[in-house]
Amino acid sequence: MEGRSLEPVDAARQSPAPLEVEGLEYSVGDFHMGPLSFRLEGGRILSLMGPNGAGKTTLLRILAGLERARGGIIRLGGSDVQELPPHRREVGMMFQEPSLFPHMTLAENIAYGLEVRKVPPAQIARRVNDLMDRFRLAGLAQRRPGELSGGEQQRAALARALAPQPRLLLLDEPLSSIDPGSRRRFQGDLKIWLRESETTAVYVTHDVDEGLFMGDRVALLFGGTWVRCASPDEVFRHPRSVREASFLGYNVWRAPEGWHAALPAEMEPGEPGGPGDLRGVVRAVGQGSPTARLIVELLPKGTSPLEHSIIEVHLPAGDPRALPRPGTEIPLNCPRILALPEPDGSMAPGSQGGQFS
Amino acid sequence: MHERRPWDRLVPILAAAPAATFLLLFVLLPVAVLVIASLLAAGGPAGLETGLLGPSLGAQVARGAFRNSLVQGTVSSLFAVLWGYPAGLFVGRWAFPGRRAFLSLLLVPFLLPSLVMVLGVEELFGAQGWLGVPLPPLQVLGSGLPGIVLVNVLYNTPLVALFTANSVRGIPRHMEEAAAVLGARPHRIFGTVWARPSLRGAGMGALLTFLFSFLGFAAPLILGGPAQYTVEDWIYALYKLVGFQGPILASDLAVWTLGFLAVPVAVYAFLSRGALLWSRTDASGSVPPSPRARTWGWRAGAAATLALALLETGLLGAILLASVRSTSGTWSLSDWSVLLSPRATGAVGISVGAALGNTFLYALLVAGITVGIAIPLGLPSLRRSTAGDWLRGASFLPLLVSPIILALAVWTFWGPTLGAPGTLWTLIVASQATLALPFVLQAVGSSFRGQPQTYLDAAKTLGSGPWGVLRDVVAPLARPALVTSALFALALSFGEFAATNFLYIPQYATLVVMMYGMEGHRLFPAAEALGALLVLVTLAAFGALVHGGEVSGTR
Repeated sequence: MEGRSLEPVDAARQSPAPLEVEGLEYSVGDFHMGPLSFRLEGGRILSLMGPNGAGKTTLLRILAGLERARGGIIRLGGSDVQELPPHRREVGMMFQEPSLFPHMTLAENIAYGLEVRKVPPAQIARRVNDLMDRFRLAGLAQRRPGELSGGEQQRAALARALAPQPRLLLLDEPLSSIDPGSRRRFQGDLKIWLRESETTAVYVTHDVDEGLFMGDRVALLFGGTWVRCASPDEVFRHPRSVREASFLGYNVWRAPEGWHAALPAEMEPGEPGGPGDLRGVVRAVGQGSPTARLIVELLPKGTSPLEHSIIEVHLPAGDPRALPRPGTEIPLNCPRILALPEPDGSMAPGSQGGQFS
Repeated sequence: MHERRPWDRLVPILAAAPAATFLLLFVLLPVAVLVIASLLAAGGPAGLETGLLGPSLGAQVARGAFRNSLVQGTVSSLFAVLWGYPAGLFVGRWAFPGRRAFLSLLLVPFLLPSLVMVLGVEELFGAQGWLGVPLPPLQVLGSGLPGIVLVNVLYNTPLVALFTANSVRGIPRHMEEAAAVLGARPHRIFGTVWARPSLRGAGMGALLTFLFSFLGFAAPLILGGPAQYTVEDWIYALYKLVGFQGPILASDLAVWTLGFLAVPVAVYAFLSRGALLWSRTDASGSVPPSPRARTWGWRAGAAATLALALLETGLLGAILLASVRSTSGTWSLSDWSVLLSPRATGAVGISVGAALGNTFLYALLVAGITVGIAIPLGLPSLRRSTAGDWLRGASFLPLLVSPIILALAVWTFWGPTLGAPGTLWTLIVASQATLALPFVLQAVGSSFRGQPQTYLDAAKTLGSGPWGVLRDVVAPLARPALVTSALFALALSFGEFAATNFLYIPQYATLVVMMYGMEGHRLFPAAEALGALLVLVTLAAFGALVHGGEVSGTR
């Protein structure tokens, strides 16, 4: 994407809008969410992560006004928007599927949000051209969505969502339908753009790597309840429950003294027969990208068996002949092994109705 | 807490009002009055029962009518399924040259006036027919019960095949492949993957065939005579042709028919939820090529498909050729010139030009009324409302109320109010619109329901209000289906015979009614020319439909 700034549509609206949510509650059928409270500073990105069915998309739809909350307050830029219908909230949303209007050209799609706001045509044309240049869509203005590739459709959907300069941008797994290579590149483009435009954004994903990269803050939502909200580093480095650690990609096992967790990349195999913090038997080996992976069955130190003893160890990809062979007993050196509390059902004591800012 | 605004409640009510009012005025009230009047005249339900089961002449007629309807409905649906099911499976499951064209052509008989189908069977299998002359034993199919069943089968087998084909077209190819790599043999794969949806489709087709054949009108009237009259024919005959007690007996018979058909119509309504009658595209993407190893199922399907294609094409060809063949066997356009003769005008008291004008005027009005009623029902707010659900259910009522019963009810209810014959055409249009309405409601409704919710959500989050969403997104996306539905309504109105024939006076006759009148006056060449004209118009409507969108599964 190009580095220059876009001409603002509404010059009066320059300061990024903070998002405040208080006591938000929602239920449908057996699913209950909240009460949720949080504050996101203007111009920052909140990565909202959680497993499928956690309520991430629902929260996004409530923020957009597409679903009705049972209670609570949503403030955007200091004003309560809870009673406003979607078209009056000045919120942009990008869906899992590009959802470009199939009967409109690419340019018409991007211009749509400006036209309904009755922006002067000359300004619309400038803005559409700017966005098409920025999102590498130049020359495709008259194409219909069906004539675009998946990546082009995603970029067009983002350009469309951003065209009216929303005060809050909601992104619902926007890269889920893009191939992995393009996806990483798009993540970078998107983060640059959001930072430059100082757009307040909530970014939903269940991809841990993506969520940690995109967010200034990261929130974990499990079963409609806040589990955690902190900086990406804090969330990733210091999981507080078995479920958090497991979701973030930690190896989790249970020894007689309790639950433990360690990152696969922070477990280093030693020479067979040498000393180590843990011992295990290699069960499978495979090259991966960018790391090779060992599947190891941990051995108990005493007579009591381990639970969840199959773990993964990541090694820098290199000569496959240097990797331990399956069946080899190896020591594992782990500079950082976390001790985690016993799961109590909610997985994080005191997490109901969590609040953060 | 986010409260619903009063407007949110009002919009569904306003949107439902046109359809609800129409159904109330032209179905519910007239039929209710007809039923109540019959019950009062009979002194209650017991009186009706005695009337049907007793020794009186009226009861004997009613029992005969029901027996004929049941026999024709059952035999016709049995043959239609035996023929249409393998053909539908073949077309739905495998790719072959001309498959798409064949799938589209299956729709043609559905659009043809029933009277034209009768004419086609006569032209093929009658004493002077293209097949009847060289193969005299086949003449048995040109009249009587075999002829009636053949008309019903030719009319409805394509429906069974279409429903079956569409029910399996949506099955992803990898389902069959998954069963195969898991070790299932062909019959097991069929049982696991194809049987359930295809039997549902065939079941829908069978029920529709039963309903249409049970309520057959033109074929028994022309090919069978009183010995084969169905309930529809007897209601018509009793009301129109028999004096004194005739109208009362006709009403009794109508009430019994309504009660009898409630169950099959309800079952059909249940089965056909969301089913498509015809679609341009394959839901599952690519269609697998025909298997290298020709199984007996493949052979049976191919044979059924080929036979269907040959016979349906032969039927249309026979009608078109008959119109350019003189009685001496030479080729000429003399049949067409008879159309313009005073004899032709005298047959029903109206010229061909005027009948053509009536036909087009009614068709346009019917298309406008039905689509106009159906559009508000597609509003996003009504799609998920209770009122919408009720109306979609109520839209099946005209399937239960057959054309003749509807015409009888509408005439009984509105006739005295309208008074002047000059306003009679409004009842013809209303009846035709009522008969086309279930089909149009389903087609338009399924088109609106098929629009991805994310399009609407995207428009809302981009700043579009409710009307903006409707104008900019919902309406443009639904336009192809609206055009298709209008064309379908047009075609159905164009070919509607039973209700129009019941209600018309000469100045309001349509082409189909005129064709029937010409047959009655033994103006067969002119009737053949009119039949050919109707075939050509139907093919033109079909051509337009092929360029349109999708059509849902009822009429």
